[in-house]
Amino acid sequence: MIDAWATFWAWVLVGTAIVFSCLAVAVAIGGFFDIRALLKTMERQHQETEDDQGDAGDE
Amino acid sequence: MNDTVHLGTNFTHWDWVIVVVYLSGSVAIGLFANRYIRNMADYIVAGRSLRSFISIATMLGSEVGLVTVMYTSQKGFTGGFSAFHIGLCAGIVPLIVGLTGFIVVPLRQARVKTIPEYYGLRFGTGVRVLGGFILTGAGILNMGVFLKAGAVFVTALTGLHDPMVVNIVMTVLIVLVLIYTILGGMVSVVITDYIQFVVLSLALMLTAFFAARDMGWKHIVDTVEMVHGESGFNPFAEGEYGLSYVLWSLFVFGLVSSAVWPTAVIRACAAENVQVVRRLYTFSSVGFMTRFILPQFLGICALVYFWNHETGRELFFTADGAVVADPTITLKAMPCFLAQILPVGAIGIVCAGMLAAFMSTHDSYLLCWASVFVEDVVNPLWGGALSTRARLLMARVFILLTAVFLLIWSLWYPLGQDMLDYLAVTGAVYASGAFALLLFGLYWNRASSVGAYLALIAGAMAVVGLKPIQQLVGLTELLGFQPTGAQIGLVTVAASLVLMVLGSLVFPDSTSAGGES
Repeated sequence: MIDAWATFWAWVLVGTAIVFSCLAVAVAIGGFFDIRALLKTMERQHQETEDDQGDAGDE
Repeated sequence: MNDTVHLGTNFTHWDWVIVVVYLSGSVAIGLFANRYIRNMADYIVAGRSLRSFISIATMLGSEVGLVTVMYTSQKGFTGGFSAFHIGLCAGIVPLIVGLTGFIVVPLRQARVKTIPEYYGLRFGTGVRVLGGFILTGAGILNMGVFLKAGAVFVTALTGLHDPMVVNIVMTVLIVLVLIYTILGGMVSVVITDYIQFVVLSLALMLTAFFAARDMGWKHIVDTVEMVHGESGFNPFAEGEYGLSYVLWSLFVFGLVSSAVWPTAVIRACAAENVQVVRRLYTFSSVGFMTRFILPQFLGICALVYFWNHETGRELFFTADGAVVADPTITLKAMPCFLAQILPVGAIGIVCAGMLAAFMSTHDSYLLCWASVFVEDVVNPLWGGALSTRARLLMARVFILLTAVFLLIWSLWYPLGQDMLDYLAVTGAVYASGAFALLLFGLYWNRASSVGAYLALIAGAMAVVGLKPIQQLVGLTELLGFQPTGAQIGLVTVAASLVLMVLGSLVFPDSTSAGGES
């Protein structure tokens, strides 16, 4: 019984390590580009808000 | 603490240089984010502009912290391979949440920033305020042992043994977190979490590799069998766990930690759209599983290492070969083990990664509790009339006060139980009621505000699961047996669900406060 559990947990451990390694690489690369996009989006949102406020002021 | 000094460490001045350079860079980048903060939505949810990869990084950067690594490795040390069942629960349930969108998708569709804000939409302002108050209290209590875990880690890994020096190091770390969290809000949290995720992933894989290489699989299995017997492999066997603990793991480490715990759910609220939410949970399930499995493996390796180490065996095992019962000692096992096996340079990277993880957990948690307290307790009580400037200021002051409280609490609270169990119980104070409110609020039209009040109060009773509280109220004498934290937690979850249904049926709302999603 213990051998069966030990084998099962070995597969869980190895599987976790492999899948997590792949995820970490993908997230490290993709996350870098997402941060750039995030900062650009926030700048654009602020710009649009300021433009809207400017338009409202003109009216 | 001084017992561990005799074990020695490979940590050198070069490793300190690595740590200082890394942490300084991390804080500088966090400070840079301050220029992007213009309003409360920027501060709390980064303008709801997070895409998939960065959402995953920030979710895992926050949820895989030093504290997580410490308490999960402690479970590996005290429970052997059986502890892996926690990781399986923590991986499978978020995967189901991601595939089905259970709870998190309707929450994102509601466009709320916090969970109590949803309570307000669905059940009214009173429930929002009570829910926010319980959440803030439980969350801060939950954080209460983080510093203690951090101090144990630093002491054991670096060989620092002067308590004053350790306290200064931990205080400096908290101050650094405060600076960039107070100024940069969610944007700085996201960027620093990303960096910390990358470094911590590297550190975890590195340590697991060194540990596995040094120990050898057969040696590990044989030693766990010798120390723990069958209960070291079978989580359902009599011993450390059993059926009630497995059920508790499914609820707390699976469902609550992913779909109910606010620091995780806030990522769903900050996601760009519903598709990102689903992707976030589906892929993060791997990280949720890893954050338990790999540190638990390190704990198991520590068990094997010290079983065969003369000084370590005296420190961590009793004369008859059992693991010592004192949780403050077993907590030191993993960092002491790393201090022995990691070479110079690698130990610096691991220390930097772990301390970075310590900071990334603190920044997210501090931001989350402050947001909830201001948005869901103070502002509603103020009639919703507080200006953005006042709310931002209040959130920043609250973060500061919370940090001071944590410094004091971590110094005097007697742990009395495994750290993971302390965290599960304090989490359940909030989560038992929150689960009932979210489940029935989102999926049952007849859920009423009276049911919600009753469920929240019943859930808060989980505080009785803390050992010092049990001793204070004489719970063992009252019941005639010593209940475990898991048993008390399961009872409060059941009570919250039952009271939510009964309260809603007996006292229905006169008009529906919100719609079924």
